[in-house]
Amino acid sequence: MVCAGLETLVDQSITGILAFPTSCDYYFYLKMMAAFFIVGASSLFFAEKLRYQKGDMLSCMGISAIATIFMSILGTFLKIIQPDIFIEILVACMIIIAIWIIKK
Amino acid sequence: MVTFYKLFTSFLMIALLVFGLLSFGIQFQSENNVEDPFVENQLINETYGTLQTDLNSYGSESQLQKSLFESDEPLAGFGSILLFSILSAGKVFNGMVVGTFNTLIKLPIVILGVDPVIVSVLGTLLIFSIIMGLWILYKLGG
Repeated sequence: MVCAGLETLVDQSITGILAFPTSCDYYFYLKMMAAFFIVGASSLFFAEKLRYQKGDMLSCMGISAIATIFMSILGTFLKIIQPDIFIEILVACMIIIAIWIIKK
Repeated sequence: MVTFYKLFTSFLMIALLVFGLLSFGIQFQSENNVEDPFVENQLINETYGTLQTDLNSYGSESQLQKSLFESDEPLAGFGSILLFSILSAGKVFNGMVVGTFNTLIKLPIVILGVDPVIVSVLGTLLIFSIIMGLWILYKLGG
């Protein structure tokens, strides 16, 4: 994938710079949110495991899913996450939260 | 086997959490004048509205079942006490679980393109769990 260089950036505000990657990859922030979710869940899980010698991965994923939804809402405010991408993130996180609550 | 009480509590908690997250998102976007709010999506709007109506109606329906339960005259059965109002409560509360499931499952079907076969299997599992849970509730009271 070839992206345009930074010299083509017109809007040089924080929002414009943050939104720049979506110009060549529409799903850039979807991937970022997925990465945020995985890092968040793993961090929580391994911190719990270190402290209590055992961890509950599903709970960590549930908590991370809630954090991801909040981050995505902030992303829509900064205009870096489009509504259709946000809805996909919301529904995917909702499924994880539902499984977490039912399993609990 | 999951008990009916646990299933019912889980589904209401899921409905409440999803409703809370949607409410927060809608309010946050409206207060900050986001240009393209996600509530304009027809499916999200419909889900939010249905959840709001359902959760509002659950309070009055529960009150009605409470009144029925209080007015029921207990009969002495074989090793237990018989209360027929529990049948009505079971019918109403199982409707709440199925209603919540039907409202929430629309989102993954349409947005993530979940196969109808998967939804059908999940629905079957849920209904079977409800029937077994209610049977245990009627038979043993717990």
